[in-house]
Amino acid sequence: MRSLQDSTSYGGVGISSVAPPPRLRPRHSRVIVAEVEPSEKSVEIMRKFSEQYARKSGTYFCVDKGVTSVVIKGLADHKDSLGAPLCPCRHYDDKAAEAGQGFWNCPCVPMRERKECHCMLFLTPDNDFAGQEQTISLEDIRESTANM
Amino acid sequence: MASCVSPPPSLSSSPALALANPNLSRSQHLSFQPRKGIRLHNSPASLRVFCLREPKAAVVTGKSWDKLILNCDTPVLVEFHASWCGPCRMVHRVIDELATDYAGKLKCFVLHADNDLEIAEYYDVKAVPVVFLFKNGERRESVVGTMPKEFYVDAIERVLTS
Repeated sequence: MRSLQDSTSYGGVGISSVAPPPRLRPRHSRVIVAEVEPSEKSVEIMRKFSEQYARKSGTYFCVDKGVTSVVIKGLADHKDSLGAPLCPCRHYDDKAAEAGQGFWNCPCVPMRERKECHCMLFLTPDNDFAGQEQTISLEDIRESTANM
Repeated sequence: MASCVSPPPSLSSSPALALANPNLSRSQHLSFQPRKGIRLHNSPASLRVFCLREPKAAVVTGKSWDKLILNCDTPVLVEFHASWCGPCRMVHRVIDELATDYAGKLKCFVLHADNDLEIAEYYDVKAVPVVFLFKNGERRESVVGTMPKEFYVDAIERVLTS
């Protein structure tokens, strides 16, 4: 009886084996190459730094924690590759020179002086995109950047 | 970059970053705004959906730049972004919406600034995201930072009617 059910349920539903594998983002190989995951250690360091600096500066994370997560990973990525958390929301001719110079290392000079973070990591409470939290877990970061 | 975060005197007269203005959301319809309340819980899921779906704005590179941007018959919008730029992802969503809204009138592209240094340097890109509008091979408008959808719409309309 059981075997009959089994054979009926599987019979005629020849799926997967013939279907071509799905190709996600086929044209974006260069982008993927550029987005090698930062080390977990650096992500954790930048996560803690972000929480501490938000509290210290009286700023809040974005309502969309995906934005926060991506930026934290970007800082971690630069910490890994350049030795300093260079802002990931700028374009640089020479990243190494810029990291050495320090102006755009997080927290950057505009943030320290005027609480201006165009990367939307640290938002003043009056900002439309500011949420109510100054904490973000490693799990939040993992989840919201899982399919990047 | 500093200019894009200083509070604007008004939306219409300043290209300054609208995020910094607390009054904007009440008077303007930010395209991200309606989902603001639920995004706190839903953001991981919504981001996942966004990242997996086929982008509506196509990718342009240094190689295809002349053909797709400078020699295009219709006006063109290009968003410059970088790998780990959080706000770029918010702007992507708006650009995707605009690509649908203006289908046939405007072509929308994204360019990875780190992969195409020459183009980024030629157009003096410093902060990302930045959106440029081209017509007849000339850059007509630029919008720096993360702005309300209306801001991009206004710039597009100016270019289309010029």
